[in-house]
Amino acid sequence: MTWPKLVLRQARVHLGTLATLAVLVLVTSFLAAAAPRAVTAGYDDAFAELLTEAPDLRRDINVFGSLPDGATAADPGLSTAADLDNLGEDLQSQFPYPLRRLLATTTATGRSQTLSILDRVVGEQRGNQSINIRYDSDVAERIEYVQGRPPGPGGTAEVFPGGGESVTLPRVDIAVSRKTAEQMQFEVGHQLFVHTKGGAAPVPEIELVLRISGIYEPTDPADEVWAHTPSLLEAQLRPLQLGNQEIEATGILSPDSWASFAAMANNTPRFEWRFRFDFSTITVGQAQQVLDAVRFFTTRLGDFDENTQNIQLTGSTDLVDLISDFQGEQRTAHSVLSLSTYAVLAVAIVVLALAGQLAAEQRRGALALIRARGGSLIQAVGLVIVEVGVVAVPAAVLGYVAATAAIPTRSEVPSSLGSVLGVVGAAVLLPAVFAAVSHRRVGRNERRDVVTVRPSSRRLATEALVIGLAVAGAYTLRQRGLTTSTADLGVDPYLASVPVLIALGAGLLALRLYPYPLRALGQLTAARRTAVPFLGVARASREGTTAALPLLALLMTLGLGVFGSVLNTSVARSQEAQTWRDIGADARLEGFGFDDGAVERLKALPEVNAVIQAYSNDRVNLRVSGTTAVPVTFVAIEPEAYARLARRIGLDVPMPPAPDGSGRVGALMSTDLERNYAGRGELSVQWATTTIDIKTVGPIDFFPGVRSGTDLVVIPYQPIADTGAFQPTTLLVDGPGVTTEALRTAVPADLVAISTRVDRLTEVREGPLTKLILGAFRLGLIVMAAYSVLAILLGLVLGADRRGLVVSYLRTLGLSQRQSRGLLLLEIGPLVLLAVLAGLSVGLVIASVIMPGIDLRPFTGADAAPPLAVDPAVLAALAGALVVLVGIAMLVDAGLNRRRRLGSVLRVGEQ
Amino acid sequence: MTEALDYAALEERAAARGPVFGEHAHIVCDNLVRIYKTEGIEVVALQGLDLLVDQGAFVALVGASGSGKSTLLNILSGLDVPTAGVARVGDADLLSMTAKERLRYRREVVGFVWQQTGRNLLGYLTAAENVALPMQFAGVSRADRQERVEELLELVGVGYCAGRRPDELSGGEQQRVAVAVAVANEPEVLFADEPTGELDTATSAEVFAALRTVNGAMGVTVVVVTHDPLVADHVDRTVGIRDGRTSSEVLRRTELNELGHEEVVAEEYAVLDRAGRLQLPRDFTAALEMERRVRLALEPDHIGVWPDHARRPRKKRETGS
Repeated sequence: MTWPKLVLRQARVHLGTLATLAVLVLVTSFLAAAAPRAVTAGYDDAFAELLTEAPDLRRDINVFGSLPDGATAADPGLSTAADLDNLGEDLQSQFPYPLRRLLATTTATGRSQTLSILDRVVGEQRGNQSINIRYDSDVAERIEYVQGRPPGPGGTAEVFPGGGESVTLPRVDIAVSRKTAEQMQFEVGHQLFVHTKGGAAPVPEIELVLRISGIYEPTDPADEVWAHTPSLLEAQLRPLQLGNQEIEATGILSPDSWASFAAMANNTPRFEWRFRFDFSTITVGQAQQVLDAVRFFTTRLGDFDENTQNIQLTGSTDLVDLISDFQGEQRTAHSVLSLSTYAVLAVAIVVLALAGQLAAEQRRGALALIRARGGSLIQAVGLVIVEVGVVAVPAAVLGYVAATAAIPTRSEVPSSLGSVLGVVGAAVLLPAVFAAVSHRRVGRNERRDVVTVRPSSRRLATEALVIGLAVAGAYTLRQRGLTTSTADLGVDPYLASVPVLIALGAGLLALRLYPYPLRALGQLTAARRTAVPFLGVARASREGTTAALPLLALLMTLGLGVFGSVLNTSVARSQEAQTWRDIGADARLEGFGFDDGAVERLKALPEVNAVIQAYSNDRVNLRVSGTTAVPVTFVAIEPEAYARLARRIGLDVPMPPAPDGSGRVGALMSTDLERNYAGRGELSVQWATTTIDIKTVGPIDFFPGVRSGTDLVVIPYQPIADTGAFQPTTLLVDGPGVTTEALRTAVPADLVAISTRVDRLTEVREGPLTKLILGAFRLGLIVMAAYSVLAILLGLVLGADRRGLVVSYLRTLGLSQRQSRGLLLLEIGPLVLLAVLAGLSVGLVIASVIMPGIDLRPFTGADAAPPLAVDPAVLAALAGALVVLVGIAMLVDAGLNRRRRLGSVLRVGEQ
Repeated sequence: MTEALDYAALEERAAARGPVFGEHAHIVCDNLVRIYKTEGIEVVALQGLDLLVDQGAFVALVGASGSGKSTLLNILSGLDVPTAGVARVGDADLLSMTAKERLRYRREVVGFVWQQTGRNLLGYLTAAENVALPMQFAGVSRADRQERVEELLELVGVGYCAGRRPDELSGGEQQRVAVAVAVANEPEVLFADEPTGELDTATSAEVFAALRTVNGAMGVTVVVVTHDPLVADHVDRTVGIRDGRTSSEVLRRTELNELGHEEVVAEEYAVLDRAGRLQLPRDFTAALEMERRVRLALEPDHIGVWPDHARRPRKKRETGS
């Protein structure tokens, strides 16, 4: 009989446990290999989503070209459309490769300044109507002409100003959109007499004739080009004060008509090149390269080549901020996620250790015999290693392959081969270690039924070391923070494993200390008549080491759950508070001015309780004694109404008092302003032709919607209303159920920005990285819970023999079946209670240690370290879940043990 | 009296040792002590036990439970380490062996059989594979193994069981296979701990016969711990152990009686250890109410042992006037 046959025979006896071990190793190696892949893929997807969903203005690179006054398009050599495209290509070639290969489209634009339209009837301005004309390289293929033709090369036109002699003026052909034509009452063939707006002549003179050659419609109204430049489709309305409006149309040029426009000397055009990128396949690994490329491009914009001599090029993009913000967020997310990963790994190792212990226990008799018959320790342990290895190694390989196949990633994943090897190593070596420890000395030279009264000093020293490491780690973590220096060095493994150490230390401490109260309880129950409580408590207080590993698994699971819950609750509360601070009400409307009609319509909406008017202007001067002028941001708001709203939403904002008729209005000012200017003379605020005298009545350093640190002056709204010259620019709505759509119906004008607090909260919460972290935590918790059930089950199986023996003895003495179940509950009960208490404490300790050190700004919108918030309902649910887990394990164990008969049990363990 | 002391001669005398205890015996136990200590609980299992066994002998150890027989067996078979005293089997000093020497000892010098039939054999191997196992550990080649396995199984009388698993064998067959396993590596000594404890009379006889065969055919010294009178009454030497020491011995020999038939003559002895201590049988001391102190008197051909006088008058008064 050969060695392999021996191994196979041995394996066949224990097929059940080997199969369980195989499944365990498969799942664990799958997780070990899948986690880094999933996380990397998650980061890449979040990054791509962030960049793809960002507004155009932020994620495109726009290069603006401006000319000095009086220059024409010929100076920088941009007279033709082809020249514009060529310069665009030159710029394109200046992108470093990492950026250039992501380039999707390039658009070149040449624009005129705003031109005021004089009516066809000579001399009368057509009431604040203006037009700008532009050539965009990407428009021509996206429109179809419903009337007329595309603009031609243009030419000249005869004009009879003032009924006198005719004047020959240059004529440029343009086309307008159908909506614009309706709004402006244009028709094909109309000629518009225009001059540059803001010209110096006292009476505007016609400089240029624009002839409408065609009217177009977009072929695809949903195309992003129209969203980027809405003026191409309709004229833009701008409300002036007191109900007046001005309207600006946009006309497009064809390459021919651009050439004729560019030839004119009296209009200085502006240029813009817009570069759009395809970020759909970008990965986090490319982030730094792209960032550096963008920086390189924008800083070196002016130096490119001789064609750009006469034009000033400036680059504008938010890519740098977008990318670097994301990099910071991703590092924080990674630190937080690594906590979860380490915890899951720790629980997996605990379960593998239990499985190893079980494997060694099952082979105890055979190994003892082998050792007694002359097998060396190496031969005996080798048999175990090979037997387990034959099952574990293929399972691990399968898990690794499955993870690689199931989770595609775009970028390189940090190799998980090490962790998979670790899993296999643990699965194979742990049983070997347990077996070696049991069979190092052959024969029985100690009594196994004697309970350890005093722990060995070696054991105490080891436990003290672990507790010391945990405390030291916790202190260090709190001081240094988890996310310090992660940019350069990655996550520190010692610090990231601190939660595991804390759980380990707490578990060891709990196991050492819990027998004492139990023994006291035992003395109480000893005096009672029924035996079961005493027996249960007595056994529970002697459970000792077999309960250590399952307890540890439960502790870590509950600890991580509590930590995740605290993190989630704290971040959520902080997010809510920040959105209140940002919006200041349930909804906020901002525009150039709202008329009474708009306010009434808003008040009439069913969900709206109140509408608070405010006027804000950031170009107001604070005057001291009529002379010194300090630019401040000025806000006038209805004080009592807003105070009511602020009270309701829990926002702490001081309000100025109502005017008391004394001629000076009480005003709140920023602390700096107050310190510098209060008492130095008569204060007033002034802008344009309006001046309001004020006196300081208190400080204010925060106002919703105003950036902190701004110099701020706040007065009540009454004085503004009294002047009759202004409309409110900001409306704050008190209406908890109000939606953006409902508000839109009351104020349909385009140039009104509406933001609701609920939408803002959703926006903050929907960040792709936030979802990734929370999802990963939840998944980690579920995995840990499953492992914990298995840990408890294995613990129960390991102790089953001894327990069965004791119970059987007691059954022969007269213990009933029901009493024996009660006994089990009493044995396990204190341990479960211990696990719950210790787990909750461990979770709270971990949270209080870790959270001050993590930069959570990207997720909360404000606080780097939000105050710890605990949701008691969630904690109670977690504790309840733990009890349910234990119950499930016990049920499964009871099912497995149903076949035990008294007679066979009593023979067990009798050696 | 010599005038000048011959220092050289004196030195020689001092250096010369007397005959070493058990010099020619195969198994030597001299004042063997074994104390179990576990976290505050101390049990003294062997309290200075002496034992000598010659090469090729077949010895039975008897004694009440708790007397220390199993402990002695565990020590002699290398499964346990004595606390003090001398324990020597062949050339091996059991007190000071390293782990490697201990392994070699278990492989090549001793074999043993336990009482529970399940403990002697691996349930998932056939009888032949079980016998081959110790040889496999010792590194014997496959061909040699095959040969020896067949030989051994035939020797103990279970050659027909070679291909069967233990759960397909009767108790007697299992124990005989266990004997074959124990002698697989040709040990010098075979230890058996109550091998017939779980068996009925007929099968006990079979197992006993197997042990006898091994003792006779292979010259293996056999030491059997037993309660079974079937075994104890049929060996040449039975040693009684009481309270961790050897207390008595019974030696048997076959003789021709007056009628010319063979009969077994058994003679019981009390063991006298090197310090001169003697264990008196309990029924003797109880009958004469001997406790704590006895008086001795040296007679020409025996030593008389009398109970302590002080007690007798009191006892007489109690029984009657």
